[in-house]
Amino acid sequence: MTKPTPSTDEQLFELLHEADPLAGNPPLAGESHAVGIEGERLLQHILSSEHVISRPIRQRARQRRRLVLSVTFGGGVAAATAAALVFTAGNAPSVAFAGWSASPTAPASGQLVAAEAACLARLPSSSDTERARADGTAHAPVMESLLKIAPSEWQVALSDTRGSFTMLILEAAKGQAQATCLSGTSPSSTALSVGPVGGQPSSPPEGQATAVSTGSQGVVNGNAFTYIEGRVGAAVTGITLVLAGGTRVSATVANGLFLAWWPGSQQAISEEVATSTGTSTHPLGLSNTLRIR
Amino acid sequence: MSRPDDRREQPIRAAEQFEELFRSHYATVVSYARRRVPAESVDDVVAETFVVAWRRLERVPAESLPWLLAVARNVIMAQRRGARRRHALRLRLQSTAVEAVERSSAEELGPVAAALARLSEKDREALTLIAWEGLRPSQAAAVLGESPSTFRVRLHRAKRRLRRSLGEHREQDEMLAHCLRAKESHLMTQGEHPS
Repeated sequence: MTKPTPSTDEQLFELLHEADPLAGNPPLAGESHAVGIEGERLLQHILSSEHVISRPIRQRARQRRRLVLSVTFGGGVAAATAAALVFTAGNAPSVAFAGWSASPTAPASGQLVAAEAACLARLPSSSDTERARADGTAHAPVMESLLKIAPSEWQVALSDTRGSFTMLILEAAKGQAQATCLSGTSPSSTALSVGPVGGQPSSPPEGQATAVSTGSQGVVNGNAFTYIEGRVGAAVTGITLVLAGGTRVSATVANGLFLAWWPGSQQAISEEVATSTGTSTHPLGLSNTLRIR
Repeated sequence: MSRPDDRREQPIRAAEQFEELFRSHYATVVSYARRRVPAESVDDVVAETFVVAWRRLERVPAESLPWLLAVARNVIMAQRRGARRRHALRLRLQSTAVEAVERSSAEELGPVAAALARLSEKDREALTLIAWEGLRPSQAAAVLGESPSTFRVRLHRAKRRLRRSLGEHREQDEMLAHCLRAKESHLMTQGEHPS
């Protein structure tokens, strides 16, 4: 029998509740408080993906031939005060990471100088800052603070060469500002991430390593790469990363820092820290990446 | 003052922030999608919604659920537009549960669903966001991108239109029932049994 037309809001919403397509249906796995297997899979998939700061299409088209502020660390982006930025070149042809190897290789003559020059050329310029400000991105204040650092202040703290590509950790302002940069055979095949000014870095205890960035990702000319970097105690002699697919990647360890990178977006699942007294293995994950010993 | 290590911890913090957002609202987004798109499209809508959230994490407001549902709504609308453009003939099969209501008879869907389907999309959302998703009016307003005062007016009118639609439906039902009874009575007097 047809119900009378509801005269009150309560009656109307009672009817609406009854018409809920999910009323009486048992919840799917994802609808319980736990997100379920599908939800966990989606979560991990998204977290392992590259983190892209999207820009309005209109502005993107206008700046197609200019430096594109497009990619940041794969682990996530940051709040307004401490964003890390990656600049990649525009429509340059795609290049592979020619000659990449799981262990660092000796740089060719002039390779480090060229990489440093290419990376310094990628530092934020006043036009980048103006663009960020015009776009209203959260990075504008960070870029403004970085602009105050003269290019000559940036120094190479660590380099890691694998084939024709070199990754550099650059420091400035007495270690308070850092940049990580991957550079290939041409200035256009260079990607740089740069962070805001901070305090003096702290070193981990002797024999331990502290990863300050794990599973970070970037793109050079459309080719994704992943890298891990951190600080090591004085007794650490070597670090080996084990990737999800089983590949073992040896990091460069020097000057209290370590750094390794590899093509693609595979995550490192564990790392082996070598000291003169032995080797210890530690799992790596998004939730425990900051203190891996 | 922040430290370089703090800077490098940002990606980790962003991941943790996203994970909290995901775990807090995954169920609601799944339910929102299930109520509005066919089962085979639910996963796509949910995944795209959270991918957008991941990419625009810095823009997600403190009250994140309305923002997420607004994204999901946009994803669904874009999906519908794409479906219309690409597969006009298949649209009926790909349409959402609520859209399907529009194309089905009231007998199949029930009078309330049929009356809902006769409302505009925004009026329907105004009512269902509150009735089904349990949002407060201010939250539902945010989903629709309207000011709270505009939403109040919309909600008031949507309730009135739904009541009117339900009333018309009831009158039609009663008229139909009256006609059937009259026909039945006529056939009985003719010595026939109604089929």
